[in-house]
Amino acid sequence: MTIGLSDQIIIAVIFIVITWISLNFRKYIKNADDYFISGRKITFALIVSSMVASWHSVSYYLWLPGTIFTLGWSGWIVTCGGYVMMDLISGYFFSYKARMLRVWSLPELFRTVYGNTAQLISSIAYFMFMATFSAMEIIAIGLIINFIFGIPVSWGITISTIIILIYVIIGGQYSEYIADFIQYILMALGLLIIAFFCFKQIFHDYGSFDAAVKSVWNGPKLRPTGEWTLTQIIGFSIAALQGIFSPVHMSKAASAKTPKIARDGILCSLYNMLAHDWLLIIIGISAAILLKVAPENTDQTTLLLASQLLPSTIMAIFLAGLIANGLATINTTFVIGGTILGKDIFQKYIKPKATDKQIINAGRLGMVLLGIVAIIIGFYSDSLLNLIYYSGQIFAPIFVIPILFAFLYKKRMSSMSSVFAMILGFAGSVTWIILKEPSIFSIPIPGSVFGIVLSLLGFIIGNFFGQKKENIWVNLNKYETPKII
Amino acid sequence: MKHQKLFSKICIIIVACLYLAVYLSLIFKQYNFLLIAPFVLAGWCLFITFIFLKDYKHFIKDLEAEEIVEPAYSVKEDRDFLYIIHTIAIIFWPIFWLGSIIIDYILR
Repeated sequence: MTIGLSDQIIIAVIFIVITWISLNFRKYIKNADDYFISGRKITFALIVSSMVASWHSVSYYLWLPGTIFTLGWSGWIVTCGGYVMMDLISGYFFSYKARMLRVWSLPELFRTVYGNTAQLISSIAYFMFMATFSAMEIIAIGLIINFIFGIPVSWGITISTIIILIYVIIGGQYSEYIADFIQYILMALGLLIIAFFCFKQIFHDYGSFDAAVKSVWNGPKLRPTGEWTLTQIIGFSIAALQGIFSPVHMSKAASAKTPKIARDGILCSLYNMLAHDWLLIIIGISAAILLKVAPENTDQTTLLLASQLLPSTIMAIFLAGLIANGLATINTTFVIGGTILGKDIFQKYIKPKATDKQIINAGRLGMVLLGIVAIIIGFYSDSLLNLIYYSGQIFAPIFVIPILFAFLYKKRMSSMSSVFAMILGFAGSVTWIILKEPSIFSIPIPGSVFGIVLSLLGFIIGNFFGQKKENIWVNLNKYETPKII
Repeated sequence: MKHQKLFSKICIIIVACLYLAVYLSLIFKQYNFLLIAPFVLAGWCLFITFIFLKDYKHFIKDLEAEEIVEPAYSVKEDRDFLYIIHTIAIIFWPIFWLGSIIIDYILR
């Protein structure tokens, strides 16, 4: 299914304008800090809009309504409830502290708390995490481009990645923030448009939304746990741990003007995302009520519903909102990938006396590498929901224990503790997934649970080896006086 | 200033109640309350745009400055009204989320 030429032109114009406006801000880049963390000058509104646009991905806009269409509203509470919790924890407990430490990335935080080895290992792990996160987005954009222009998804994936790379490489994080703000407005507009048309059609056909829902759904689809198995419920809840103070949260916190802006911005973005979630639930429910033909791939539910309800030009604005959402997320992941390669690896291990220009160029290379890895992952994945599930199963056990101890533990820790935790967490979860996540005494154990238990053991054992570092939270007052940039 | 603070507190409380209403509408199967959701989203969008435009001049000034001094901040977090709302959210969300899943799983 494709859309008309006039709609294609509208979409193209919208993105040319966004790119032009955001690239105008590249003139303010004076050094590597400006390029990677916006010189720590970002205000509340930009933190909120960018966090929503980046963390609330377009893949989410496709698979969540699809899951709700198939399984009822439990599709949201089971898969997303944990992420809401992780966002609350990240904002409430960690963002203020992370900004106060004046680190630029999570690997840098690991270096401050645990030492150089932890920084190196976490750099590689976070780079792969961001590549997987980007892969979900480029698959989703590939599906949308396939829908708009009728070209194969694999081509859509490759073309969109190349276009975004060019745009991010030039603009750095200032451009990302400005583009994110416009994309945030477009995303909300797209959702409001389709919700309006859903309500209009449903009220016309059924008289009330309540009556319509109850006429198509009954029993499990109306309940919070639907027909999900216990393994799936535990698996998704634990998978959400991958979102605990993710590199995206860190990137926004690091660039905020003050710790308070970082905290309030991240938390208010969560409430904003919840409002988006309610509308995605409405879209999923409306699809169950209104779609005449069930989609072959449930990830296409949103697109099918839109094509059935929206008039031509409105459809173009809606699709622009969806693509904007994907671009906003990939912008951020590429900037994070660039920061890891430019500042955490190149400046730290390859050329400590590198100039700002060399660091920025190394960061740009990091963005290209991240794009290539994301394309490869995108080519080999069969479904967005599976990619989200397994990404959580693998990455949550690597990061969650070291992150929790880094922020909340107030005693001296050995540098080896986090190294052991990350390696054992990864090995444990991958092994358990290869063994097809067997139950123990009839209790379902997802890979992430096994990995996290091993990671905790690794942390405790590792703490007996290596030199113990001074705890950063003990001498907190030294971070109180801001330096002049 | 006092009136402005009181107004913002009332707005925050109203928004919190709207969130509660939408969540409870799903739990208690009263789906007409979902109609609140688009208004909440539109409200957020307008609010963030308003704040962005209000801060824009200052933001550009910061970007143009060769050297800026970071505003002072304390290692102890400000316990303002918004902080209290965040605290309520972090206490009640796990109760709603896990509570509804556990109770429903036991009852099914």
